[in-house]
Amino acid sequence: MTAPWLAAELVPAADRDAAPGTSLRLAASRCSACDRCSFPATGTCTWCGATGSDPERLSDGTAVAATAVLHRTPGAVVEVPYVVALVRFARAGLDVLGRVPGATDPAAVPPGTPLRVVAESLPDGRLHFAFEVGAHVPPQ
Amino acid sequence: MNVLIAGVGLHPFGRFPLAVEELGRAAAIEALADAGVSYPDVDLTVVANVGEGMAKGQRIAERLGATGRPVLSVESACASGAAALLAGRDAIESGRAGIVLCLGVEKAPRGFIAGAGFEPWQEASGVGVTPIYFALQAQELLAATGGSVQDLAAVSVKNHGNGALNPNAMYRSPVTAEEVLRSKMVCPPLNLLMLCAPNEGAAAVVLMSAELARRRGVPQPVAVRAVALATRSPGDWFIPAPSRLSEVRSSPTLTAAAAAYQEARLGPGDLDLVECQDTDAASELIAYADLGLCAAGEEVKLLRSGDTQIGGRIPVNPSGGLLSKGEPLGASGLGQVHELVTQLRGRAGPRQVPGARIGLAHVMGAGHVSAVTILAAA
Repeated sequence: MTAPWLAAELVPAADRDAAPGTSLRLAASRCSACDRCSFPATGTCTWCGATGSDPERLSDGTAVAATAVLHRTPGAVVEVPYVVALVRFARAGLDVLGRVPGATDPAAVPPGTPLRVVAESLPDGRLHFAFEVGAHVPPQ
Repeated sequence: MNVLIAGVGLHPFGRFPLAVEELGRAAAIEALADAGVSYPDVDLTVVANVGEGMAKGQRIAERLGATGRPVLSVESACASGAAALLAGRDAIESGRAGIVLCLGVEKAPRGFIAGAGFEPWQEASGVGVTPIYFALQAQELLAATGGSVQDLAAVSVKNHGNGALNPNAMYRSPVTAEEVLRSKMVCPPLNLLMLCAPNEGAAAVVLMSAELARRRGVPQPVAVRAVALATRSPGDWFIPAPSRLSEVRSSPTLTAAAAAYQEARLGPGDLDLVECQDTDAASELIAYADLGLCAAGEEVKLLRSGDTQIGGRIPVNPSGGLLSKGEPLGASGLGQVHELVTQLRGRAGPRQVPGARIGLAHVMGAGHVSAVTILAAA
């Protein structure tokens, strides 16, 4: 029995037993009409409004840009400071925003840095996705 | 052009021990007096506000008098003021109204703006934070233009310098690049003095049909040449979207600017001044290209040329911008209109743009909302 997810719909059902720190895939969708991807997955395409889509999974990306949040923000359960990166998933053609808990400085995540999606245990005990420097490790 | 601005009014931007209704009333009364209009003459009141609750427009407008006339509330994040102008302009163009009062007013809490449309998971996980978006845009801009944090500081220095000449601004002291770069880091590369502060204030605009303005002998009217509002297209990325398409790159400001230039039958080369959404220093630079003041990639070059200073080829944010005025969300767009009208009437005192005849105002906010307004001396 794993901890509850902050937003289970962001993670494919098959990956929801991932342990903190291990690789994970994100659940995106690919529109059957325009072939563009959306994250979070949506039944109605973000871009063209068509209904009908296929699952698309995001696992390995590269950093586009990174910054840090140094001051507490409304509603956040995570402790400051933390690094946030915009990560490019080439096959899906999507850039996704997420935290990089293992980094303390955005300079450690320069553009082009390979990042994989992992499960992270938040301070309130819930699981969420995060990014970690390195390549995807498929679950055993 | 059938719609004119007959009068403008403003309550200074800052922090005040006044209710939102009082802030709004002060700006509205000034605008009505400037236009030579009494409130019972107003056919429609459009109230722009983000943070107040149900029936806010009616509550705020009631302080001006219970005239029984329609009051419309509009909320479009930082573009709320322009949305009010759009609604008011269209009401006159359609013949449904002869005089419209557009009133923007806000009492925004201190600190980061909450409730900018983020999902609960975005906020809880720490990515529902507005300056993250500005910081990442800034990183990409600097990478694409070869600019540096010195250039971001230079935008802040320029706007704070202009704001020192504006009695309605919240921050009225010039700053040096060193002071900007030494100020508290918020989200790298953005320091505190490179970001605008949400605050309080009000701005009001009285719109009138050209025929009515002529009959009433309105002095120094200003023509509304265009008001265009845009939202997200594929390729746009802004608050609160958690992802974007990698390959397409566009902006709702590009969409709004194209529509506004077409409507006004004018181009960027016709402008004498611009008030743009400098939520942060990089956002002003991004707007340079999106509004057509320069080609994409040339934003830093345009800044360094000095052309966007007062006295330059195309002064940007002569009012001091949001960086020195602060941003009362519902009021900021009409605050820009107030500045353009003041400039086009030649009444801006020490921050006057010489010979100003045509001005553009640009707002952009959460929900990928962007609006471009073009005004001309009538």
